[in-house]
Amino acid sequence: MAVYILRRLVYLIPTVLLISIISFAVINAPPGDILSSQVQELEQQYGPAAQRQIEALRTRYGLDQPVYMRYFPWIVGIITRLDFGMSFSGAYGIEFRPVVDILAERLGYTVLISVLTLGFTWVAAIPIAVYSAAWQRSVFDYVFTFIAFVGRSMPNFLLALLLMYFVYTNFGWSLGGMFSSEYVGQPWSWGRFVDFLRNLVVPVIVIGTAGMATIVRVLRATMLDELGKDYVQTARAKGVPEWKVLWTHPVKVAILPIVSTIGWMLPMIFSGSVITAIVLNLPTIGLTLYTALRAQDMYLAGSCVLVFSVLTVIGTLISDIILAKIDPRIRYD
Amino acid sequence: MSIPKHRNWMLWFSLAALLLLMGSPVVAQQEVLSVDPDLPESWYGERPLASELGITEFSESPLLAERVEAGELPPVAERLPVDPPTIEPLSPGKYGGVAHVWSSGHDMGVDDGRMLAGLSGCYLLGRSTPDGRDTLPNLLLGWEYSDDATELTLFLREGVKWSDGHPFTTDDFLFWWNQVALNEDLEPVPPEDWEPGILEVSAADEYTVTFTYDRPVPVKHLAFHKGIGQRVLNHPAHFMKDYHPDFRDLDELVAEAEEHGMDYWDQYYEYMQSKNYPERGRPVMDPYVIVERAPTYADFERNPYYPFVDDQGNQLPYLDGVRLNIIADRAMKRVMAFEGAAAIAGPHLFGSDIPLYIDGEEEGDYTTYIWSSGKGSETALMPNLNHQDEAIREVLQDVRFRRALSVAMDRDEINRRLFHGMAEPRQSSLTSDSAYYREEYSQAWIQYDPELAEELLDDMGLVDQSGDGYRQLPDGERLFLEILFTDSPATPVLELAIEQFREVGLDIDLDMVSRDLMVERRNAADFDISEWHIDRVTDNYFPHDLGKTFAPTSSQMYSSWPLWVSWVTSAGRTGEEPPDDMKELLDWAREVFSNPDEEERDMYVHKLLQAQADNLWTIGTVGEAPSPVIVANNLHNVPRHGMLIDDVDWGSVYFPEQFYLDPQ
Repeated sequence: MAVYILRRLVYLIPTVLLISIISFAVINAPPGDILSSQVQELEQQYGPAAQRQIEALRTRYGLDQPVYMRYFPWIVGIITRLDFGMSFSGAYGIEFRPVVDILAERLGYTVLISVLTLGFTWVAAIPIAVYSAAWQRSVFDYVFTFIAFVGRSMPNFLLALLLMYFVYTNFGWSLGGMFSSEYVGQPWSWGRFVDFLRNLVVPVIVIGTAGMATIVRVLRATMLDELGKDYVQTARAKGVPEWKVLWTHPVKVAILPIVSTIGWMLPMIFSGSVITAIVLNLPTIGLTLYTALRAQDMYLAGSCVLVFSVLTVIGTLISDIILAKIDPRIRYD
Repeated sequence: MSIPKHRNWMLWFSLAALLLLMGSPVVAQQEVLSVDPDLPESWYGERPLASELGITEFSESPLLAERVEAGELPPVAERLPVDPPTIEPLSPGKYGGVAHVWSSGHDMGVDDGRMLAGLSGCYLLGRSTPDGRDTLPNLLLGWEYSDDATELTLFLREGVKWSDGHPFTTDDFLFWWNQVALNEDLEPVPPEDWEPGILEVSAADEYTVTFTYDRPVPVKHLAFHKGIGQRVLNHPAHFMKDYHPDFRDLDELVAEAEEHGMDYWDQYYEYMQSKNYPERGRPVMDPYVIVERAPTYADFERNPYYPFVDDQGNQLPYLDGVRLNIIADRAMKRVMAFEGAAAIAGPHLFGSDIPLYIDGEEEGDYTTYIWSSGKGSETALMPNLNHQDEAIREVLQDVRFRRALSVAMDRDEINRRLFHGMAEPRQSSLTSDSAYYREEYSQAWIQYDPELAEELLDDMGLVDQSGDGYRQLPDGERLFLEILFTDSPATPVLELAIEQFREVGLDIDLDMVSRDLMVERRNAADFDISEWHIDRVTDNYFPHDLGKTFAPTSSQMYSSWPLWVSWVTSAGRTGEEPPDDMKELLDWAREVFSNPDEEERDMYVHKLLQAQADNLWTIGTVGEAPSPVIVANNLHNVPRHGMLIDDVDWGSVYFPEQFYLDPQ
């Protein structure tokens, strides 16, 4: 087992490197760069000389270098001293800021929202799926199936808008951001904590719903598969209570494909919720990636992608380890 | 752009749907005025000094008084300049309160922040009058030209201080010129190219600084609100010296830069020079100083050294602070404005949403003010006069074609359907407040006359030879033009316009691209017709800056003649040499910039304006459109009318220092 994990960890390095190369190349592929989004501001400052100023700045920021000359110092900086480079785009136009700082102030919120969302998804999805499978074609099965399909197909941001509207009109809460305005920037207190939870409900539901629908469908299908098998019949024939029949064996089997989704669930929750994050104004890394891409802030965008890919790889590793633990059919070599 | 376009569209669409859900439109009819007639007269004159108003005692916010008490700050009289300048508030204000504004990350401080807080530093040294016709000394005591207009002397007020209490003196001007402007690392493009003609900056004493030019610069003081004024205030000498190799050991400085993750001192200098990070501690001259910076907001607190007082001797600003809430997308700003979450909102709200905003007033506890967009045209067409295809270029360079396009448009329909009839059908020219405005310029070729359009096109030999309903080039080749633009409020205007072009047999379609691609294609003159709004047509800029439409002197990418601008601004190194009629425009422009005789200067201004009205280098649609400004009912002293445009720094000429909130 230890050797298995170690080997997987070693594989992880080239995988992440490869991802970083590809993503950096893709980020740099579109025409223009961070400065082309600043043309208007620079025209105001430099008038007719704006174009030449842009070229001069390109040299200063090293944007005139070929992609690989920008990539190597960046990746070397990350490996040797965890220096993710500089972000150029500030809220006020061109501004220098270490990428690490930007990621650091958002990582906490991102992880928190993700973990809560994942928890919400699982806690809600598994019982529903088991119920739907056990009482197939019952009224509730149809109701849940319907909800699951709606949740799956409705764009997240639309659901976010509708919920925001619902909450605004019924409770009078304006849900922009992690805190209501009176608590922003205040030290932690009970009131602030309650407010924080209140503001988290909508994002967690919105981001969680899509994932939940998928899990319900997958789990229900595998459960149905399992329920028809002989060992279930045997258990029933032996007089084992129905709830025990369900939860001891078929669920354990049916949950395996869900476990293997951890790998991609994490980054999906991080990044897939970009539009929701825009609508709800959440300070997540997904949102940072979105704005960085729009501004063509290459080191910031590249670092976000790198963070996501590391998470994906680690997530996959974790799910593999769990699977190896709970699924006796998996071998280590 | 890596984010699929349609996602944005979906977001826009659903936001519109949300606004519709929240309230149904009512028809609004209000007059669009760009200047509030009830502004105090003193706003049009030089700042009265405290002594002139008989003020001997000064007071300050209780918040600052506490800090004085605690010994953290010197008393208010010592913080203010000697005989401080006064600003007459619209109504007597009260101290206190934190005003909330919403700004999308990219715009932060660029519009909403400026509007409420004057955070840009524009209009500090000199401020334009509310009508934009004149620039008056503000932070400066005054200025003076030498007789031949080659020397401009600025007089500083004694005792003006940066937000850390350090005096603002001619040192700051000299440092900016000698150590920043002339430093090749910090300003790789020499100042000659962006502030032409400066030979020397010298200081007679701490409060007198003289700019010596190699030519007459009769209107140069206008540059002091945007150009030089803003630059000087960006480099407080006493603070920035610590990061400049003229005052530090270079190796040491580079080592420090590397510690911060930067390669060279110039990057480090730029890093420290940013005023938007409290931990870097860069002092400012603005009314507010940043005290906290988080991913979703930035908090600003009053500048205890702000040098202005009201007409009773109370130090401004009235507000204790400003919170800029940072949101990810401009569209969300509109929702926040509608919910009444902002003390003031205006930039990037749409005139077409006015009925919705009015509908939400009660719920959101705000009032919708109607300001003017301050634009000569909200949407203007720019036929590519440098088109690379010879046959097409010939068509676009033909004035008959441009006139045909202009009269083929039904501007009344555009106005009625998209601006609630509140905008002005206009040609692209100066706004009606300008001292140079004439109706014959703004009304040239704007009549809706499709028959005339057809006649002009027939005359050019552009007729429908194939019988497919569209006109072909004289040699029978297809005449197909695309309007290059990026997703913006212009989209519906263009959609209406191309319908109207098709009715006179012109095969014109829309080509919506991402902003980056648009920039690239415009600079390379790789388009048929492009679209942009006509700004810089108020007296705040004009004729100091000829903007986009009067002569190919600047604004390469927002013009009909990118290659000629490129040729002019690069002194012939790039672009294409303009033909003789263009060179005539350039000659006139030169006269406008440097002829010391005001009457002659004005004559050339009108020559340029007439040339645009005759030739339609750019073709206007409707302009001076209504711009909603959402003002919370507890925020006072915001003018009822005004201009919402960069020309007036998004409203910072309306003295945001004197806005105040009801006490809690």
